[in-house]
Amino acid sequence: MAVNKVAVKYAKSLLDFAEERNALQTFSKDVDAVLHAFGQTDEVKRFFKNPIIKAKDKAAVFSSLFKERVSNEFFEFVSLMIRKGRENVLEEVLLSFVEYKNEALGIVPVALTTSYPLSSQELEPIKTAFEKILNKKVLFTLAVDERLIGGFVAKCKDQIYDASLQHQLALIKTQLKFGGPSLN
Amino acid sequence: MVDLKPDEITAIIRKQISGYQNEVDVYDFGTVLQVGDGIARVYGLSKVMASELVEFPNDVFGMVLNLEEDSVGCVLFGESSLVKEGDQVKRTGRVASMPVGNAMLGRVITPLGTPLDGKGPINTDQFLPMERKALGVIQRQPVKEPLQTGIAAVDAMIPIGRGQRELIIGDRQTGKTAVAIDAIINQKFTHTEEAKNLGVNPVFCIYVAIGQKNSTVAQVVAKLQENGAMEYSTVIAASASDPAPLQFIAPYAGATLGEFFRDNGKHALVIYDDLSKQAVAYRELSLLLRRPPGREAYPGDVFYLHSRLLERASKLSEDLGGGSLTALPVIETQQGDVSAYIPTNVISITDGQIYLESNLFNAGVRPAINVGISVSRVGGNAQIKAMKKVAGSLKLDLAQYRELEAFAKFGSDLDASTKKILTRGSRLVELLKQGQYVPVPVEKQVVSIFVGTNGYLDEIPLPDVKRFEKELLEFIEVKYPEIFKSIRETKELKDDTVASLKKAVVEFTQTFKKSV
Repeated sequence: MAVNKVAVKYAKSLLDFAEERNALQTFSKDVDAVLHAFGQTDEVKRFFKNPIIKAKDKAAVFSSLFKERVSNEFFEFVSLMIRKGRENVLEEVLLSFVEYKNEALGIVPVALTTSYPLSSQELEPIKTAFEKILNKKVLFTLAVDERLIGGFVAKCKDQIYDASLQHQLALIKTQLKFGGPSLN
Repeated sequence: MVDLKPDEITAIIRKQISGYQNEVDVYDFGTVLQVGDGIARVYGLSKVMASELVEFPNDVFGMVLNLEEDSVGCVLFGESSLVKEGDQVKRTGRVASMPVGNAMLGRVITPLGTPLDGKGPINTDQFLPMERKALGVIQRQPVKEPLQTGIAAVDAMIPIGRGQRELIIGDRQTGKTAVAIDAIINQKFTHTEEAKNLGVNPVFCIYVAIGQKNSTVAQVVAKLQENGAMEYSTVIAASASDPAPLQFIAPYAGATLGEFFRDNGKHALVIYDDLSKQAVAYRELSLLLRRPPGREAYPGDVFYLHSRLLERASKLSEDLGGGSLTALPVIETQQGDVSAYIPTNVISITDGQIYLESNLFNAGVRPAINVGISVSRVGGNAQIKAMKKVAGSLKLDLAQYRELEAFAKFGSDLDASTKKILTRGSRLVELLKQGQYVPVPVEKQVVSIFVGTNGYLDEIPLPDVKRFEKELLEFIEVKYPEIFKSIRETKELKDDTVASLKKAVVEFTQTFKKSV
């Protein structure tokens, strides 16, 4: 989604720092942990976004929640953000960090939607095909949508690879209606 | 009802489906961030082109106008209530274009080329982009053929040539549209066999209604149909209830259709009615797209908006087929203020202007053309010789008349020469009055003006001038048809024609005076 300019700056510096310290692995683990916590309950997210709660309280809560679970450097990074009053964009920072990290490692996240849950056997050929097309490592996020009827839809950045039956039926519909898929 | 066998239907459907290819469809997409007031901000679409068409859900199309750092600003050609935040937007890979072709004639369409008249689909397969660069210098040639409007005042003093851009400007309710519609109706002659024999090429007409009431558009269409002008015309309507983006592109759609005729060696006349409303629509969407406002809150490129449109009017060189596209833009002024932003812009772009004034209109001078300040910068070359000859003194006579008109109001103690100028002027003004939807062929205009400028009307009482003209033309038509024939065919006023014309007028005046 549209990203905050502030978030981009913080995320990029976090990534630079991680690469400098050769601690990309630990950092991404930390980021995942925090994002996981954010994903689990809305309350944490709302707590950090709330401008009424004082920075001191936010720092205390973050400390009690994550002090033991994340690396020291990462903890300091978040504390800095809280001190600077930027904790409201914390989630965006972490999400952009993941995005930039993937880019640096040559990984493309692909959101794959199918009409039924795929087995890993079925997934494998799709994965190899995509890795061949994109010339990068592919990280799938899977979703199921029965409305597709069959086939799959893969979203990769700004592009959609649509091989679903639903889309094909829609195309046939326009073709029958207008004698060809065209505007007007 | 024709008998249709199920087999045939199956075959047709099979044929249609056979063109369909089963492949993975790869397309670029974006997500709607914000929507409202006919504008959508879209995230993604990183490879989209400026002025590319994009597809929103529910068959709403949009056009990309702003490419920003992290979002794309689109204008919507449909209902913005059908688009929601988070909706997926697809690229089409095509810049905004419209279908063109001869099948467009006789139709009422939207600026996107979809029919509005309920006469079924339009069968064309050619698409042309709406925004096209105007032709360069090499591809053009000077304007040389006349475009007869059928309005004596215009054809005599403000002649319009094919390929010219002539502005029609005036307050509301001064008959701007009437002038334009008369010009369309008068092109009917160019589509006849007779015109073909005379070497007059047909002119196809396009009427672009921008921001008008639907009832007004319906009225125009009805009038065109009534006069048999719809067969060679297309009406492009973006009415007041249509979204601003549609009103903004409507004139470009008209120009595109006109260019189709022009590029095929034909002649086209396109009327933009009116460009002030288009500028307002453009201002609306520019402000919504957060482009900085300038004078009268119009964006900085509002001059370019009109100049690039009107620059597309042209007369092609013979190598390119010699087609032409004539543009008659209409501008509505407020209280006769021609120094407002949009009027001055368009005045400076066009090759002349026809001023219509409300006090003339109210004084009964209709069409209410102020011939004193109306000009045509290039049309003179396109006027036929006969008209040039008789109209030469017309403008001068009228100018002298206007100068003295104010004086005459103060007293009746005038010398003979002043009186003469006043009599002549008032007769000429009366002569140039003309009803709506009754265009006059050029040979009749020539005769009428000849009679006026040569003083044959000076003896006729003012209220009888129009009747005199009408009956004289009928008289000549019946008794001396060779006069009209000679002017029509040679396009000149030869000495022997002048002699027989004088004879006819004298003869008629004698009988007419008895009836007064």
